[in-house]
Amino acid sequence: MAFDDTHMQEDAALLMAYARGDHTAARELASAHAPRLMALAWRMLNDQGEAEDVTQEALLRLWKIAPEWRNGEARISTWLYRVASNLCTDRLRKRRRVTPLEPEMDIADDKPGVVAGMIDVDRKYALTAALEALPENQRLAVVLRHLEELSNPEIAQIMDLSVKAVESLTARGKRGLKTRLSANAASLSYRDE
Amino acid sequence: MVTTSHNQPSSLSDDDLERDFAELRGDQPPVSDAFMARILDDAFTHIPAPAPIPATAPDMITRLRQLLAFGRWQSGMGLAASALAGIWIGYAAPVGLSTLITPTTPLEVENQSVDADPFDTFLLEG
Repeated sequence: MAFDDTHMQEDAALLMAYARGDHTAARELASAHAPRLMALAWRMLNDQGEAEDVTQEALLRLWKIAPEWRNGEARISTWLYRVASNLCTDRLRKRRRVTPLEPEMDIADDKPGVVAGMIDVDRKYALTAALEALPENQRLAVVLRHLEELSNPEIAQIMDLSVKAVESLTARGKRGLKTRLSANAASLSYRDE
Repeated sequence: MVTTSHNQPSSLSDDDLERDFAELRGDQPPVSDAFMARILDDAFTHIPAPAPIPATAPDMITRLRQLLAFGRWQSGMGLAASALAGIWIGYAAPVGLSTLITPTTPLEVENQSVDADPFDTFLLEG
């Protein structure tokens, strides 16, 4: 769900009100943006605690910059996504330095794939694991495009890339996901529609 | 189509992947009340103070009231006495003061009692 111009103007008005000392504006901004940032960070980091840290830090930077915010230069949502994305990427790079890459997750052959609910859980788990195995930029592009449902131009602003570069990253990311998921397709019971 | 006739896995389709994305999209991590409270705590810690309302200079009556309210009644009485004295001097000129006042304006000159024209006096007296 992409933010449109109405949301952009509402956000700008709320941030101006916050900068004038309006506590209610802070509550509205937090309610509007915390869940989306949380979702992005959680999908990137796969850890509730780290996702909360990133979300809190991104919003803290917004509170601090509020008096200097210049309307019309950027959407607040885009700015927040960019801050959160950079924080996530930093944490992922630190993780790689500390722990080696995890081997590809193998779905156990003895999982009871005939139970629909458990199959769904397995497939979500498999997709999450496959996302985690992607390079950071590909993962971010795929998460923003296919899970956060942002447009390519907005993703380009968040990642500071051209739209073509975003399309390329997304395409490569999806190919990587399909390759990994296909290896376990039988146990995940992908069926003809 | 995922499996071939020999039951060999092949690449997932875009539709399969999109279906999985849709399932995962529905999984949203919760934003607990405690976490939201921490976010708002940051917000209220850094919230700018509202701009103060500019103060206007009090008029004389307000200043007099302030002096009296703060117990400086002597100052208030002195101020009031000075004001009254100024008004009295302006409206009721003391005796003898008029001798010090010489007409300077055309109106004052016109209203002044006019002495006989010296020339007329010369003509009358010869």
